[in-house]
Amino acid sequence: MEPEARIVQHIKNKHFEFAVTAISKVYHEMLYWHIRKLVKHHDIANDVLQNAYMRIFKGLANFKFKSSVKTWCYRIAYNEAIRMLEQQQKLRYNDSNDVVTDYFAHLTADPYFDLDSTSHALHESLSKLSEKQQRVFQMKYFDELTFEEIAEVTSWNVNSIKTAFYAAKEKVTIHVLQTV
Amino acid sequence: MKKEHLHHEHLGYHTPKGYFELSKKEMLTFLKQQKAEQKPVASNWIKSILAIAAVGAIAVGLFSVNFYSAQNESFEQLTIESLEVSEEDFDQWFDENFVLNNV
Repeated sequence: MEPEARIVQHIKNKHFEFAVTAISKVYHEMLYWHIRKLVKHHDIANDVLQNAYMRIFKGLANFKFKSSVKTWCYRIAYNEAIRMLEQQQKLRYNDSNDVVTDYFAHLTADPYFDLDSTSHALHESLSKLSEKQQRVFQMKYFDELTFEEIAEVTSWNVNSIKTAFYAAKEKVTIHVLQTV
Repeated sequence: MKKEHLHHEHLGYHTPKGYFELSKKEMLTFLKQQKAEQKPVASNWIKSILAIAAVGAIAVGLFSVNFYSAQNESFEQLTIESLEVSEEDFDQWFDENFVLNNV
């Protein structure tokens, strides 16, 4: 039986502890990386992941099977990460107008981040994208989600996601080729 | 892992050694603790007790309102009709119309 089908079976049988254990076996690492790319810091990603697990566990009883368990979990993780970013935004005092400097200051504050020429070029190109383009590009390129899955996770329109992705891809490719 | 390698190679992100295995166990332990702290059986009992208490309070409230309004009606009747009763006959009239009727 496929892992996703096994999770669905556990949910239908109301075996929520088995379901959440199966979710952690299949999606734990994916969810962490999904969150990490949004919040950037390892420690914050770890906290967000814990909150996401809580919501997943509490929400299993009300899961309506309208989407796959995978996209449902991604959506919860995404919403938790955005909630955390909004809280940080309220607390942060920012006197700099330089987006790229802010972006790297935020990244390099994390001890679990290594800056080399490749990552520097990619992050520099990402920092110049809009928030939406960054998220869409990372979900498509690194998380390997389909456009439809990204739409389910973010509640954005599929066509606007496609537009954002292709624009982001072009900018990133040009920047990385010029830099590396 | 492929994902870890990809994220480190391209984005420079890495995690503490053995993070994924450890954090997976920690998350599941945390969920079990949360579930144990919730004690759903106890909370159902509390809900039942609160529901019974609320019903009791409403019943007492309704009874009090009816009781006082009934008393007021009796008093109104007493004051209007009693005007026609002479003082000598009042005790007997009152017993017949109110005290004995209520019994």
